[in-house]
Amino acid sequence: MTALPALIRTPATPVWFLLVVSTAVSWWLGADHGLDDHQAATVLVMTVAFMKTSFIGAYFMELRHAPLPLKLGFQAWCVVVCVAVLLIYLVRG
Amino acid sequence: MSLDTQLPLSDGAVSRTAPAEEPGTQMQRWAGHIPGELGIWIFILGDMCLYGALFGAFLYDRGADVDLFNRSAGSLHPTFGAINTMLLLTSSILVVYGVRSVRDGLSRRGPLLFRAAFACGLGFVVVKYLEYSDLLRNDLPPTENAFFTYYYVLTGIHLTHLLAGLCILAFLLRISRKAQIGPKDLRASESAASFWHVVDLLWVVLFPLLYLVR
Amino acid sequence: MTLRKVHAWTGWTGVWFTVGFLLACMPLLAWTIPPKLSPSDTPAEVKEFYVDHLTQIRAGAFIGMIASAFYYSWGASIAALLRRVENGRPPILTYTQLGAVGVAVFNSVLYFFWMAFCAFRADTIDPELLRTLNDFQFILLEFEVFPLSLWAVAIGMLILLDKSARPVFPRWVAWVNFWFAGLVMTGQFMIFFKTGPIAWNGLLALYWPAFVFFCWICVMSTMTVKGSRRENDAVGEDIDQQTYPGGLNPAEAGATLNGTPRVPAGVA
Repeated sequence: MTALPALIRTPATPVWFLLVVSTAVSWWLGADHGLDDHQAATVLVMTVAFMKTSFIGAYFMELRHAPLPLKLGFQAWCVVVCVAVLLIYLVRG
Repeated sequence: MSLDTQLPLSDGAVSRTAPAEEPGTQMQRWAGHIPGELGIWIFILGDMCLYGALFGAFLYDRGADVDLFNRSAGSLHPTFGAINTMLLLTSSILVVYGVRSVRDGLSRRGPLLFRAAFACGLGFVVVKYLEYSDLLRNDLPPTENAFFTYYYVLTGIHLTHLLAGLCILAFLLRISRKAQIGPKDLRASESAASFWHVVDLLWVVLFPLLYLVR
Repeated sequence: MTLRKVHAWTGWTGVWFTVGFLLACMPLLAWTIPPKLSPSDTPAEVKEFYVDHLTQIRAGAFIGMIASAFYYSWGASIAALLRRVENGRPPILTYTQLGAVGVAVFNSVLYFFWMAFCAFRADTIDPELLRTLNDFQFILLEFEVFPLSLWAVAIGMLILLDKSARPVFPRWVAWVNFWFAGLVMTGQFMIFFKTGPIAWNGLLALYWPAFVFFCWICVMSTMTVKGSRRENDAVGEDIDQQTYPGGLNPAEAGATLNGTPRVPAGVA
């Protein structure tokens, strides 16, 4: 076994693939191709964005191996900011 | 979780150098592992709090004139933003591989991976330069309206992070070229990598927020 | 009263400064955090605010000026504690801190001075001029950020470079300093804007930097109190020969220095 394949045999690799695909989908959705309902498209795109941050934290930053308070603190940011952003968007927009 | 079970042996970075370990001991070693050091996480989470506040402020002020914000966002090119997202995601995964290679003692691969990640980061700067100059050519400076003030401030603060991140990648490259890598080098490289991932993470939210929200 | 106690109190002066500063600026007094005025107000509106709140503004300036004094004992105590890290070498980062303390204290003092100055003849002054003086007050407070950042960077670097077995501050405190140094700068472009988040009454120019600043002061105050106690405890019995090279006053010999009564060697 050469070094390179071992290097990329980590859950971070499929996560990266998932992130790239979801970015492409968001781009397509946001560029007026997908849903007719702008509001639904925005809520969807923003929710996906915060799910992506959660994945980046867990897999790229290796927080899934971190002590619980740190893991929870990070994921709490993702959830709290996501909910706040969506609420402000829906109430004000 | 399902990813873990699909690739059971793949993530134990330590296992390559250590002789075959019981899965249990490996789990214990990782159970409380803080990537880098505690301080860098205070820094990172504090930084993310600023951005949390900015995201909220942007959408709050957007509510004052939704039409203006929608029209202004419509004059941005999402292609620039999407390419930049891809660049940063790719540089992030390269840094993940780079840190794994440093930790596993595969230091020959490290410099190559960090150089590639650095190139992706530079690509981001080039795209940003093209985008800014395109906007300025079309007479859309920061003082144009509230949307563009936010646009330049949010992307500007992010760009500052990215430039600091590029210096940090250069630092990672230097560590990866060392003949002997000690525990302090590992701690420093994990801290540095975590900061680079924040640059990626913030852009992942900024892209839809600025370009796609209608 | 022991030196150990006095040193711990200089750490707390950071909190006194914070409380006094925020009290002076709150709506009941000077009404500058959150500000009643905005950069887009007309001269007449500015004048009306001043004339209607003369006493409050003056009381705010008074309290703020008292609070500002505590800023320098706090800054000096951090520099003094960290001096040990540079022991035996040129104390460059320590002097950098002391210079920064001077600039920072001057800024805070001038801010409250200016507040009192604006209010002094507010009832008879030309409104256009009053508005300009009022702008000065806010720009003074929010634009002076880089010197603060450099100060925090000096502190953070000393903490990271502290290789001693008994570090002055825990390592994570360095990152709080870097966090402050980097993120207090969000309002630097306030000089270009009169509305929006970067104008002097906006989120990025006022509220966020103020939040970061006072978080920093509170963390560093707590750590300074702990650090100064630890340093004083570590000096222990040897303090007499170091502190009183000429010998301890016999009248004081039986008194406490570190909380334990004793007679120093060479005096009794």
